[in-house]
Amino acid sequence: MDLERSDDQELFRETTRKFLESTAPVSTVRQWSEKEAAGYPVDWWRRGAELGWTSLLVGEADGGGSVSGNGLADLALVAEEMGRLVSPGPLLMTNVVAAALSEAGTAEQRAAVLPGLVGGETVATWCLAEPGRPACGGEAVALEAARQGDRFVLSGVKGPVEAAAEAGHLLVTALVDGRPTQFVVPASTPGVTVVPLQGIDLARRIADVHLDGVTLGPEHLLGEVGDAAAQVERQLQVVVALQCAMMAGAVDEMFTRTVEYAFDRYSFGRALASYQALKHRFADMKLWLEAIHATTTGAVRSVGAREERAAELVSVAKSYVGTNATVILQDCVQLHGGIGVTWDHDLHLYLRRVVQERSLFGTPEEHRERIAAGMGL
Amino acid sequence: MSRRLFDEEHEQFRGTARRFVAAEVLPHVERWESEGIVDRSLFAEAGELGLLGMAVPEPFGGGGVDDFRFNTVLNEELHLAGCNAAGLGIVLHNDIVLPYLLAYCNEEQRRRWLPGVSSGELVLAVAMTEPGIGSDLASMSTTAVRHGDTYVVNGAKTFITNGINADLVVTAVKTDPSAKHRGISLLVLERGMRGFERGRNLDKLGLHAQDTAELFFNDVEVPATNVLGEEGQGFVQLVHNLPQERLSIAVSGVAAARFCLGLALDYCKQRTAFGQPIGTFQNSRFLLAELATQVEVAQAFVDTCVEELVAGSLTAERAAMAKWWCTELQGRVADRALQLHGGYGYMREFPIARAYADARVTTIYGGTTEIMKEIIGRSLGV
Repeated sequence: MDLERSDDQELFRETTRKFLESTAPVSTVRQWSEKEAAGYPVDWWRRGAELGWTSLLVGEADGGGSVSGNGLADLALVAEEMGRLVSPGPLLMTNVVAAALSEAGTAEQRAAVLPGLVGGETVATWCLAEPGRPACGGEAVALEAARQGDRFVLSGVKGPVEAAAEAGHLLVTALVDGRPTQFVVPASTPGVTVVPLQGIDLARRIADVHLDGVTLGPEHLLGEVGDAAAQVERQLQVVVALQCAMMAGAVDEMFTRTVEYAFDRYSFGRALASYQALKHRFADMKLWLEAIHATTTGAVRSVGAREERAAELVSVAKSYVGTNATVILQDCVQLHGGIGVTWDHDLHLYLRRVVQERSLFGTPEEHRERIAAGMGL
Repeated sequence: MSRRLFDEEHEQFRGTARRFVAAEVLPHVERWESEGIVDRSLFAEAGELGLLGMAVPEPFGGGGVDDFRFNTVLNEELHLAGCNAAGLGIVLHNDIVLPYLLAYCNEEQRRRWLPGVSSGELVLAVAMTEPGIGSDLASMSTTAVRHGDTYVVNGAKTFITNGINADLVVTAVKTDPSAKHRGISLLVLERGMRGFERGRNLDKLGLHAQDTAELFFNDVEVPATNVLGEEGQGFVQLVHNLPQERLSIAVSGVAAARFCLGLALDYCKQRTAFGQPIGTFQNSRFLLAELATQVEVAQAFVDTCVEELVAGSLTAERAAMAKWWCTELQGRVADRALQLHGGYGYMREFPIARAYADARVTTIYGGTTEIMKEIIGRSLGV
């Protein structure tokens, strides 16, 4: 096991961190969340793309390439750094679509979509979830694409979908004759309507995507009809591993700031940090935090290496991180006292980020179901 | 703590119970713990003081007052003194088995059994569980086949509290093996019946002064006059009595938790480390505060349930709630109280060690925590 990051990776992380700190500190993220339609300026995303944010999971033939040879591990560094500053931007969604296209797209599809995504001029998103259904697993998708000659007609609702309003391309997971099939759908296709939802994460946008008689041809198919199960599983693993990295970054940052606060804040003549009960709580939280990093690293590595057990490890990570990151952040709120529940304090932004990631693409409970199912239970 | 559950009579009864525990139980606990059983004479001593069969009508030698608060008081006094094992037989006799006799005995059976039950001459047990069936009573395989005026009983029961000391064993049998629930009946098996054998006194993790045994039935001939109530009604009878059984265990759980909390408090006040009593460290103080809070909250709920039982309105699901919550509490408090004792808590000469071991079974017997949650969940319509 190689837990060390290479020098190149360290440099990449450092570059990402510096760029985020200088261009999008949390105060800026707050401003953008109020005045930018997508939660960020388009040019900022393009500059991030220049740093490699959108090319790590794309093959070199399509203009992509990784830092270390393991693009997912590299991308997890970006996700973690974005978690630290509750950064906006469709990092997970754009990358999972880019990876899927790079792996399974036709030459025409790759040429049509990937340059824009890699260059940061356009973004994409994955439409998996459906209202009222589990967020992952065999029951997640019920949307049927009806055959009409050699064409397919989609009618239904996908949601919540992150970054749907700003996405130029939608990767839609549906069923044809009851079997999973994926379509790459330009957002401008007639019948596609994006209905914004009020999300809990202020920095990012979610929406329902309404599909009303959206008619697609064979050129929109990603891979073969009815043969997308493995693709969908792979995409889920990639997204969930990155979600864990993002949550890990967010909770690590806020834990660090809470420890600093405990040293600065005095009550009854002593620093909060000197009280035994609080020391014990910080020790508990530190333990969970280290385990969050460890299980995330394990999941990222396994998914990156396409191991057979990646499905299990990624669900273990999501289950553990989703549960414990929230517990730690709630305790950070408690330890801050009254200031922790104010709008002005950054805590709620972090709690929002983690709560949203915990729910999207499978709650901890749903991932425990996946683990149990994988064990034959 | 002020409790509104009891009036003056109950408090007088508490005085009697407390004196009984101090004089007749505590001096013998160590010996009983090593012998794995209490002296049979304990039941007679309890009977003499009016601590058995409080609900039995006076003509049959009982107290003549069917008021579960008296049972509660005795149960509490035994557990507040740490006599989890030595007291369990008496509590089972009064709280769990006697109700079957009171509810279902005919006049002849009442005359035959109730005086001995009240005096402690006849010790009671109930035999439901069989090897491998747990709470799934409908799957029991002990059979009773009727031949004229006699049932012939074959099968085995296990984990039977008072299994060695018992004289009358209310035994769940299949009188119609082809039926599930409706094939179950209650038969009273008596000490000395031919073919009624007792197995080992089982070696347990805790509750060492309590005899828990396997029972074997090989062609035991039981007169039909020993059927409790009607043939085929056994399952209904068992289910009917479960709320009281479970509440009794909940009452024990809170009292046992209170005992553990008291041990921890005493220890934390007296033991010093780094120059101060360990109870003054914030961690111990917070922990003790948490445990004390949980015990008080549980007590309030259990007291309400006792009131409901006395009023006849306690539901199966509220009894199940009390059972799992209070026994889990008992386990939690015992565990944390032991932790506060440090290494000494692990030494059997410290009473917390025994209380810890005794606590473990309480989330299992009388229906596991998981079965309780099933009952509660079903009542919620899910």
